[in-house]
Amino acid sequence: MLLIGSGANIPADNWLLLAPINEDRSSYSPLIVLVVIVGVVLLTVQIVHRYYHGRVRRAPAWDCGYPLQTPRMQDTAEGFGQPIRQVFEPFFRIERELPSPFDSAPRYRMRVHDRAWRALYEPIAKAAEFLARIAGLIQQGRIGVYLTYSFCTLLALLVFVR
Amino acid sequence: MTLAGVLSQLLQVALALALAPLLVGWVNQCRAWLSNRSAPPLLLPYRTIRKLFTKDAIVAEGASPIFRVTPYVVFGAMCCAAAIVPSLATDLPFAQAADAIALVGLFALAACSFALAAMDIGTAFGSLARAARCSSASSPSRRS
Repeated sequence: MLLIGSGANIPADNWLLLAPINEDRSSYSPLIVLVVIVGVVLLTVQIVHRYYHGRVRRAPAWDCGYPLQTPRMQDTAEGFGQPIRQVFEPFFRIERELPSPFDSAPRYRMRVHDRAWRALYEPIAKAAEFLARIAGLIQQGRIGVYLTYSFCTLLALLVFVR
Repeated sequence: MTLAGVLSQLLQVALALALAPLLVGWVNQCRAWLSNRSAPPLLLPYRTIRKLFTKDAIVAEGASPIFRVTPYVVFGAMCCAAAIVPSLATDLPFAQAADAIALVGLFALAACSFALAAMDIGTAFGSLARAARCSSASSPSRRS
């Protein structure tokens, strides 16, 4: 079974339709979708304008009965991104310091750690470092020692080749 | 594309549009029963639509055209979604133009324009409503 189609298998006679695998299983035509959406929107606007009286009033935005608003009350990036971060909380280790609501000069601090980094990559890196340290033991930096290594290697090779 | 296909397509969209407020009413009833409240009437959304058609539209000061356009965009995306999903008939001419991924894209378009409209006015309450609607995973009590 062909899971990933051989490129974009577009039928030659139908340039509108994008069918990655098979026309029966999935097909997509961006142009038709766009035309239908725009058509429905225009039709809805027409119908609403015909049946709605069209009286529109401008009024101040609802302030919960608290007109004295400061910039401190606006929605922050933290407030915007926090739900998404909470959804993905199991995958990250999050440390955060949130200021008190009455702090006039608030400071946010947050550090996000990747759990996969600690669980997966750091052990591999530590193992590689450990092996490198063992290999480093035979590097003494003295020419005599290296000559001894060459000599031992030659002897071993002679033993094997014989 | 046959005449019967086009007719069933139109009939399906019309039926979905006509029954959508009924679903909202039923969901609201179930929600009220689950939280031990007495339920609103089943046909309340229809009455709300009729009432809203006679009332004035109030738009906040500083609202941009995005805020005015969003209901139409959401409505158009939902109409397209209703036209794709085979609920009444399977031989739909429009269903070939979009698959399940395009359906998800339509819902994303509606959610995205809804979020834009919520942030358009600039008050915190709009963003709160956006958060309550778009990400149901985060309950309001956890938003400190």
